[in-house]
Parts: sequence; structure tokens; C-alpha cells
Amino acid sequence: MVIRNGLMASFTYRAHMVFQILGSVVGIVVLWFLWSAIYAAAGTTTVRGMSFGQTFLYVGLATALFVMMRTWIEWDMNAQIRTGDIVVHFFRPYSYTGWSLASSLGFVAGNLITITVPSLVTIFLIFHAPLPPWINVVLFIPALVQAYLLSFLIDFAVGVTAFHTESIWGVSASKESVVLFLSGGLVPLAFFPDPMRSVLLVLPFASMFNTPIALLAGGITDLGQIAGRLALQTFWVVVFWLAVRWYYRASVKRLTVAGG
Amino acid sequence: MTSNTVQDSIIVLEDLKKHFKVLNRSEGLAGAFRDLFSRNFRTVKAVDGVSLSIRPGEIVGFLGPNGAGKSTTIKMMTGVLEPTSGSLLVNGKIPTKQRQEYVRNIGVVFGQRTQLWWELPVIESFKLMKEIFRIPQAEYEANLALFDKLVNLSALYGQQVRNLSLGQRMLCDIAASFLHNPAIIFLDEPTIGLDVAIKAQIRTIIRTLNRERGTTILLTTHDIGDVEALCQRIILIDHGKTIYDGAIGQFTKMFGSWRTVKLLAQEGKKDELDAALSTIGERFAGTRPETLEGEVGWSAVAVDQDQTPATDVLAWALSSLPVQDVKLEEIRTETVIAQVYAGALK
Amino acid sequence: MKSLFFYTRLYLLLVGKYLQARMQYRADFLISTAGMILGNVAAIGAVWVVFRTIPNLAGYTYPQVIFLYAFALLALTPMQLFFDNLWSLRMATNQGTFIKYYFKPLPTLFYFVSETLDLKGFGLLAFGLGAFVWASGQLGIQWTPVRIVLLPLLLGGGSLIFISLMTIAASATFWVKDSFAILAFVSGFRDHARYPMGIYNSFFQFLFTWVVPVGYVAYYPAQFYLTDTVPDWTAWVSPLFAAALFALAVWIWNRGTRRWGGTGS
Repeated sequence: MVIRNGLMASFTYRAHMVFQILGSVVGIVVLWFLWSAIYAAAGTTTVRGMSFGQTFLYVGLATALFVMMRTWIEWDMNAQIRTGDIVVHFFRPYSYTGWSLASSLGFVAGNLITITVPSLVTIFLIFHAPLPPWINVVLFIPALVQAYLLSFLIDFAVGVTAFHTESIWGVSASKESVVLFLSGGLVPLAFFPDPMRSVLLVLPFASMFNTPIALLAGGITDLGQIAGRLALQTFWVVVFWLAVRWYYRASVKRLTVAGG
Repeated sequence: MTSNTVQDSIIVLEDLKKHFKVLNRSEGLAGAFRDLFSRNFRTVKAVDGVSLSIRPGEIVGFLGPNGAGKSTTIKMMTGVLEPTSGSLLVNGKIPTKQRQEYVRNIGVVFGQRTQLWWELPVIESFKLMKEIFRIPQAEYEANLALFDKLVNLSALYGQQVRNLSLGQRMLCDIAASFLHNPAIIFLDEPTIGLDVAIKAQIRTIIRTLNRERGTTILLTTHDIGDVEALCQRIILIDHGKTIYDGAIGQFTKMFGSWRTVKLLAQEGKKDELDAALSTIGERFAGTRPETLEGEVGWSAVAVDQDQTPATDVLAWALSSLPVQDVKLEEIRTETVIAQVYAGALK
Repeated sequence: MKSLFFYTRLYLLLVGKYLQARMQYRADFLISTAGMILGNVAAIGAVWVVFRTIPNLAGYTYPQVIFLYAFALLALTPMQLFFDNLWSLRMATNQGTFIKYYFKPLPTLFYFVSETLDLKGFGLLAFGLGAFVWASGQLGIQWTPVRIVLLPLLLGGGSLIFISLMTIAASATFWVKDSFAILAFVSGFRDHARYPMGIYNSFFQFLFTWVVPVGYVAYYPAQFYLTDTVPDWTAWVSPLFAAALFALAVWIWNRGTRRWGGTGS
């Protein structure tokens, strides 16, 4: 029911849908031009071990996924906290976190259709990016799910900061740019200088974008490596789930103690 | 229907119409998807041929049920909406054609939506109005002094608009609308949701400024108190057309045969009384129970004496209902209006 | 030009009062500015990483790319600072509060955008200036008098182009109820304005020059500084074009307000 509402909201406006699709397509096309130019300037067919096809696929997927996983829940939460509506949820017999997750999924499902699918179509069909081995495609699903959970948890944490400050735009924008950059969403991690790369791979940001994308962009084929990456994702999901839960509880307590 | 000559009028509407094209929305998820490609529109005739003329200095009440077309007519008169057809001249101008110039000489207050600057103290908003409307200093100060004298407005000057109560904000908005001495002021539901004390203050401002400055006032309202306190003339609108336009006294006279029977219930028996009265229309033709505001313990019945003598109703009430006191009065304006909405004029 | 004087003075007054009221939100200002700057740091970081592996991009060296980026930031600042309220247009129209803009003897667009001054824009300005100064130093640009005089004009022209595009996009709200998607779409083009046009094929070059003219926001004007081309009469095309586009944007906005009329579409 909650998911369905999110889905309907995504459909309701004509222009909304058309322009989201258009925006996604234009974005991917510009990325193609950009990376073509970069590879042309490099003069070689592979840069840091990645071919143009792989890199393009990588960056294109990053864009598609990033936009799809944009749940805006931090804004919904901010609105609910500002108006005080959030207290309604304290009296309901379900977890507020779970409810947020469910409503975000509806929205994400809408995004799936208006953003992800057109992007994937553009990448694979129009630009003929190379397809990965089927095992990777299968393992992509759990990787994506975990990546989404991580993304959601971080967004939720940003939403919780709304308990403490009104200006979550700054926090949200910082989060987005930092996450995108450090996770290899703007430039594949392979391009980073080696020492930086090793560090970044271990941080949670890589688990959010790099892992699922690397699976599809064929960067990793060794099953052992893949298992390791998935396990790392799980590790971060658990860590963040605990941390965010604690943060949320502490913030609510502070709010109710202060008599908000 | 109107008794004013068009020449001396400050507002003239002739056969004014406003039709909207509205998308017929479908149900459910699949329907919403289909709607994206739909060409299925219907025409809503919000205003369907309104003609009237208003002379300078009049206070006119605009009444009608919700959705009758009052707000739409006001929006056309204030330059917000363009009419579909018909002519509209206010203060010698066509509102939508010369908006900025036109707006210099009118004031508008749309109920509950403030036009003041939300985060600024009231007096700062007034100062900004002074700059924007280029109000001469002397006029500005004279008006502020007058507001202060009438409703002690200076008590609110230092407060941010966001911190004012609804009533205080309305008071400030109305004062602000008079600040530049406009020729006409349009008030859309100015007293809705306000308590009696503030309503009285607002009516005082309106009445005084109308008297002293000769400002023409056009007022939409559901509140009979507003109508009785302020309006000399009322215009009733329903389904986009005017169904009555004339002086208030004449209006109630049309229902001269009607009476209001008021009954005071015995201690603790009000609910019983109201229950018995709720079906009075079946017992006596041309009667209906009324809801009273502000008279504690009293219930009321409207009686059309052309169908049933009021004395019959009284006799029955005194003998069979738990009543301890009675009053017999002229028809209430509210009843008249309710009757008119129900089609009594057709 | 009594009217221009009046409006400038009025705008300063409105904005001054707005700032007065916002003074209490100091923490908000700092956090927002930090967010703005971090975003740009990340972007420049990405450029830096890429230039670890290639010598130039479409013929542009690293300092040249940074110069173009900074030029774009400076051109985009006025939009951020002065016209940020455009993002709130759909809320104002959907809730009906937009109606108040009709009742003052001011142009509705002017009144509407004067309600907000986005202080984050100062962060953008600071970052842009810093990057601009660094890049110009690295490139050893000759600051001839012509180039100096032309700079504010070109920047102004560039900013006006982007402002016009955003205004047109926002105006869609008057017809379609929620133009957020359109606004976001046009806003996305501001990223495309930062790349050298050389990366695009002829179709897209055409697109970004004539259809959605983001090329004129930064790329074409920046040519006068990145190359040794002496600014001639073609330099004036950009600001004039910008003025014309703005006039069009205002016209579209006004048609929109006449159409909307408090109905919430």
C-alpha cells in the first residue's frame, strides 16, 4: 500500500516523467562524449586497465544507479520533523525506519522505470557496451540490494540530522558529492592513484557504487574477489544499520527530553 | 436588477464569463497512466454571465455557496484572471491589461493568505509597502495614526508576522491594504475563522475607513455578522450567475411572511428538544429547524406563514416539548440566504 | 533611467530586510556554504584524478580546464544568489500563495525572486574566484584593458543566459502544475557548460550553441582568455544575445502568470 502510493506519485505528472527520461538520456550521452575525449587524449585503448567500453559502462551505470537510488527521504523526514508530524510515527506499532524504507521503495520503483531502464537501454543498446558474464549479472542483484540499503541508511542518517539542524541541504549536498566522488561514481576507482585506491576500496562508499557496478562492467571476474566484495558490503550494512539506529534513538530521546 | 447608472459606477461588469477546461481524471494506477495521454476535458463554467455595477463608496457583500463563482469573479476584478468573455472595467481600467498601474489604486486581502513579509516585523512590512506604492510620508503617517487610534495596531508593530495569531495577521493585512489610500478594496473572507473580538475590530476598521475615505469595498463572506454590520447592498451568486442584487432590507422583506420561532429548552433537555425539532418539517409544512450561534440553550425553527401559522408551531411546542421560554422574531438573514441557495427565488 | 534606479534601490531594500531576518540562522549559512564548497571540491578532485592519466582533454590542459570551470562557476553564481526562489515556484502556485504577487505595482518576476537571496551563492563565488585566480596565474593570461572591461560583460551575459533558461523552465509551472522535473533538467545543463565544446560532436555542439545555449554561458566567452584571439565585435554578441533571451524569458513568465490566475492548474 505504501509502496503503491510512492509509485503513483511518480506517475502522476506528464512532464515529470518525460523530462526525467530525457535528462537521464542526455546525461549518459554527455558522459559518452566526455570519456571518448578522455580516451582519445590518452591515445591508448586501455587506461589503468580499463577499456573505453568498460569505463563508459561503469560511469553510465554509476549515473543510472545514483539517480535511481535518490530517495529524497532526508527531505521527507526534514519536512515531517519541521511540522512535527513525525511524532505520529512514534505511536504506531511499526518501526519508523521500516516505514521509511517501504515508502522509499515505491519511489525507487518509479525511478527504476523513468531513469534506470532508459539509461540501461541507452548504454547497452545504443552504445553497444560489452555485456558481462551471466554469473556477474546474477550476483549483481544482491550487490544492488545491499548497495541500496547502505544508500538508504546514509540518507536516513542525514534525515536524522534534521532533528538537530534546519539546514540539511548543506549536509545532504556534502553527502552526495563526497559519496559520489569517493565511491568511484564520478571517476572509476581504477583511475585513482594506487595508494588512494586501496584505501577507498575498503571504505563504505565503494560498497555503495563500485561493487555492484564493477560486477556489471566486468571489472571483476574472480569469484573469490566477488564474494569478498559482497561480504564487505554486508559488513558495512550491518555497521551502518547499528550506527544509524543508535543515532536515531539518541536524537529522538534528545527531542522528547527537550519537550519538542 | 441593478439600480445604478453605469456612468457613475466605479466597477462595471457586463455579462462576464469565465470557463475552465478541466481534465477528467481516471481512477487508480492504470487510470493515472492513461491520463498522461488523455484528451478528455470538460468545461467548468465558474462564472456564467455576471453583470453588475457598483458606485464609489458602496460597501457590497458578495455571497454564495462554496464553488458559486465568488472567488473567481473577485480574481477577475483584481487582475489575476482573464475573463473568457464579457467586459470588465474597474476604476476606469481593464484589470488584466494594465496590472501594475491598476493595482496602485486597489487593495486586496485574500483571507488567511498574508501579503506581508513573513519574517519581518509588521512595521517593516508597512515601510516596504510605503516604498513600493510610493506613499507620501504625510499620508503614511496619518494612516498609521488612524489604525492605531481605531484598533491599537502599534502594539503589533515590533512582532514578526510569522509570530502573529491569525486574527492579528488579518488585522495587519487589512490595515496594509488601506495604507496607500486605494479607491477600492477587495476582501475575500476576511473574518473567516476569527474570534468575535477580532471580527469586531476588523469591522470597525472597514466601516470607519469607508466612511472617512469613501473607499469602495467589495466583500466576500459567509459570515452573516459581517453582512449585517457592514453591507448596504448584497449580491448573491450561485452557479456562476447573480441571483439577487439589491439592498439588504429589500432582501429580507421578500420573505416577509416568514418568522423565526425560538425555544429555550428546559434544564438538561436541549438534546431532546433538538431531536424532536429535527423532524418538524414532516409535521408542519414550510418549517425547518435552524442552528443558532451564540444563544446558549436556545433552539430555533423557521416558519413560512404562507404554509403554517407560527402560532400553530408555538402551540405544539409549548404543549408537547420540554420548553421553558419562547421568542417570536422576524426572519433571520441567514435563513433567507439559505432559502435562496435552496432555490426559493426561482 | 529613473525606473532602474527605483528598482535597484527597492531590491537592495527588500534583500537587506531579508538578510536582517536571516541573520539568526548563522549555523545554517555555514553548513550550506560548506556543502556548496565540498561539492565543487569533489568535482575538481575528479578532474584532477582524470588528468593524472591524460595530458589534455580535447586540446585543453589541466589549468585551462580549471579556468573554464571557474569561469562557469562565476557565471552561474548570480543565478544561485538571486534567482534561487524559482525552485519554490511550484509550491507557491500549488498552495495558492503565489496570488499575492499580483497585487503590488511591481513586475511579478522581480517581486518573486526578491524574496530570497541564497547565501550559499557566496560560497560558490568564493570558490569560483579562487579557482579563477589560480588558473589565470597558471596560464599567464595577459590582462589587456579590453579583456578587463569585457570580463564583467561576458560573465554577466553568461549568467543572464542561464538565468533565462531557468526562468523559462520554471514558468512551465503555470501550465503544467509541477515543473520540478523540467527545472531539474535544465539545471543539469549547468554541468555540461563546464566542458570544452571540443568533446561534443557537431550535432551536440549545435544543440548547446543554438537550442539550449549553455555554450555561451562559459565556453565561448572564455575563448577570449584561453586563446590569443583579440576580442573584436563578436565578443559583444554574447551579452546582447543574453539580453534578448532574458527578454523572452520575462515575456514567457508574464504569459504564464496571466494564464495561471490562482487556479492551481
